[in-house]
Amino acid sequence: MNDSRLRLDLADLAGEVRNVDLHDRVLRTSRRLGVRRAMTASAAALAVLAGAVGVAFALQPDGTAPTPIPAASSTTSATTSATTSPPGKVESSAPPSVTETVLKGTRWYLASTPTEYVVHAVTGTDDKVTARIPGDRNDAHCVSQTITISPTGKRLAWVEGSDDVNGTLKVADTDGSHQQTLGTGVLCLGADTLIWKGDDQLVLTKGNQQHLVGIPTKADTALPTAEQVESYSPDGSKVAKTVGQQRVANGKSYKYTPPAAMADHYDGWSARGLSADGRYVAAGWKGTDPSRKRDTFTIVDTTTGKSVALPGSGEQNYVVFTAGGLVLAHQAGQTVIFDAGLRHQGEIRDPAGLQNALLLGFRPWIRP
Amino acid sequence: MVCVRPIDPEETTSMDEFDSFVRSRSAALLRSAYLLTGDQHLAEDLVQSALARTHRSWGRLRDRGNAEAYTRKVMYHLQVSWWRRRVAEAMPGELPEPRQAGDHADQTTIRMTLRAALLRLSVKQRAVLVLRYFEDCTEAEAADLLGVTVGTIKSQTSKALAKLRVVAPELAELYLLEGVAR
Repeated sequence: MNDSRLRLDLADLAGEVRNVDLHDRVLRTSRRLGVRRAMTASAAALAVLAGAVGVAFALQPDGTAPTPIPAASSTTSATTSATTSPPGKVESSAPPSVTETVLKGTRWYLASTPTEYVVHAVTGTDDKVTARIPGDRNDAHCVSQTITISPTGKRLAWVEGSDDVNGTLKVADTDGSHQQTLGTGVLCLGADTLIWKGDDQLVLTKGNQQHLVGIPTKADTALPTAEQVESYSPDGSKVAKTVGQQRVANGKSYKYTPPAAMADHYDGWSARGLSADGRYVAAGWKGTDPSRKRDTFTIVDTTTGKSVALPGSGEQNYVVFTAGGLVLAHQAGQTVIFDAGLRHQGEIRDPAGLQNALLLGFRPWIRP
Repeated sequence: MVCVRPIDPEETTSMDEFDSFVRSRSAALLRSAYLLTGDQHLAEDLVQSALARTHRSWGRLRDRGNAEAYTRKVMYHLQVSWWRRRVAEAMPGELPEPRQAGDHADQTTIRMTLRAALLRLSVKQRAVLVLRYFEDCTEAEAADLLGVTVGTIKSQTSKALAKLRVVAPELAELYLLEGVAR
């Protein structure tokens, strides 16, 4: 082979790439890596300290959980990975009419313009803009990283900040009204820094410590630093968290081993969503580029510690666990519906213009 | 081109030197990353991640002249690490239609063919080819960057070129014909 020609063609091909200024992105990523490592080190150190003095961590469901809300949902996103085990039988059953439940329910999406973030509520084919949050798409990364909708679609929350690390927590009704400020110095790095517990409580991070904040009451409770809350089930009754180095879901410890190289690259993973029955968690990498999609890479069956592929779905899904047991995966301009046992039920197309939007949440339709 | 352009330690003397380093070397790093990933955004992501890790290690880099070598080392290792996820996303559908023998070589087609062919190689084979034929690294330099033996570089280079001939025979034919002509 003519090496010289290969060299020339490689140089020619390399010339296709556009040069971009990576300076600010590099510094943001570096800060994120630093914060993540500091938090991990802090939690690990405290876990060791607690173990040394004989503190036993409670591995039980959160006893303060509110009464389950009938039509709740929590949002996360997932990338399916190679199946290592088929989903097992799940006790709960699918709602009687999947089509009615999903099509007549409401899906919320987050889209953006150069100057604002736009929340859409889609019911059937009806697409309504319910809220607009000012923010420069190229600059207001805190907003884009944090904006989230509560499980039943009652409230919106987001963090506003100029340094892409910390900011001010804002909460409003889903239509953008009744906006209030609930705290400052709130971490906005990462994909899931705001974690809903029902509609009325949020877990957030200040410094290296998580806090549980009540929205109506504004009560602020510091959570144990040796634990990291990762997600709640749609009704807020079950929690997925880490206790020291141990993963816990619905009060039971579990172990899942992710691909080592990826885990090393992204500084580990977290449970971005917890199914209604507490069995499945949606696993996402921690250190993903904040400017990228909030994807996760697999769903983990906590009873086996193995990953579960969503049948018939591709990569880069956004997944919604609902209180009724339905699971929605958003990908490639459509929403794929699964029952509580992750069995494929059907799919619906997303409205034009929202195929690339972020699925924020879902409220199933309930037969009157 | 040299395998790794050394930075004169006298060029920069403070933390601002990292800013200068990023701005001066991003373009070169992006070119290598583009050959490794075949995609603008993945290339940006790769360089960004590598530079962020360099930034976190900046204070510990005793010889700032090695900053680019360190960054490239991180970049190549990250790319190998990302392979499991990226390979499915980056794998192209079909190669461009093979050119008919005797056609005038259209550079655009060659680029498309070469890019698609590179993505058909394993990530390690691709990294070795880029290091050897784009970065102009010696076998020893490539081995040091990838943390493998010189023997591995030799075998991976041989396998990469062989696979290139298989997945893009028209490309190999072009290179062979031109090589003979010269």
